[in-house]
Amino acid sequence: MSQQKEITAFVLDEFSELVSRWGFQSPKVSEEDWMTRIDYIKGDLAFEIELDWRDFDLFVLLVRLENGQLPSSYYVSNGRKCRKHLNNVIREQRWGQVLPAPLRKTRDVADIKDTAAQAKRAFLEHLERIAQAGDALFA
Amino acid sequence: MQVSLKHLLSFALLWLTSLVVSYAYAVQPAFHTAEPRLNAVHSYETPVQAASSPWGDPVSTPQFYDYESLPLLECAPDIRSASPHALCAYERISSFLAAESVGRKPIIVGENMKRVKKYADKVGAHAYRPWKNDPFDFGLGMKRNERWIKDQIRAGREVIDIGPDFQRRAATERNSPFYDMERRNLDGYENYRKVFERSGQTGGVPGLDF
Repeated sequence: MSQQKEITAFVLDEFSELVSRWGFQSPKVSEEDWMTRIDYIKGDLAFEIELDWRDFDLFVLLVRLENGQLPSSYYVSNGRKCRKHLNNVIREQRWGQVLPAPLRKTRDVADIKDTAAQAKRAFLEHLERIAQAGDALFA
Repeated sequence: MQVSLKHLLSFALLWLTSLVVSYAYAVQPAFHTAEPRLNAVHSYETPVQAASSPWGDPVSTPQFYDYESLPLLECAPDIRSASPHALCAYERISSFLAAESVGRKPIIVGENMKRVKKYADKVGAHAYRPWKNDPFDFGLGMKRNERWIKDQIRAGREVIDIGPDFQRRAATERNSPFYDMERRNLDGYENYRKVFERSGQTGGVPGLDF
């Protein structure tokens, strides 16, 4: 199995709880040359994991859906914010500790898996607040 | 000056070798410059299998390359150690590409390839398409990316910089070493243009980032 597929499979396995326990839809996986995106949708929001293959890094974002669909643009759609990094939301809302920054500039598979595990813990910790705030998170 | 038969034969052999090497490089698909001009809008999709890679660069799965912005040196990683004839052929093609760059689509660079691609699609430009780097090798990825940006500069392509992904930087407290490398190479390049706004640690491209 390729390393990229191994990481993607790990992330899908790590976050499977979002579907089985927390009522998210089955993940949407989009693969491009430089990135794999995994989206877990519930209501008008999505929890998105970006696996950036050029920088070999993992990023976690919240997405505001438009008419139940993932916006086709990136951070802004129709003049409104549609994507925010989870860390930035936690910081803006003063919800507590953000995901720690890695110590090393270049990353390996273990770093990415570790970040995925931390992201899951942070997301589940704030899931209720995220659901309550909803659209207002993107104001 | 006396010219012996031996000298004449040596010269003829050298000339023939030059012709053969020049032809060999000119007909490599990666060096083929006619196709992109026939189709300036769409990328060319060419599956490349490991066994058929003539440069010994293992490619495990079929990939798709954008001929219009294909890095020349990426296609022939050993060109710098090639014979003077091969270098001559390479330089001729480089010069031709430089001349052809006038009126060609600009190149977009920036942090976060997703942003770069979105912006490139929006303005009808080209973005770097990284070669498959699986398992990840930081040095190899960096070397390939650097060759590509140097080739674009050598060809005189207009380069538009959409800048850092300030939101990603705020979230992760780190920069992309690949984008940083592109910026270093573009420092002082005359055909370089920034389209992002910056205010301290925030900013971006209006409509794309805020």
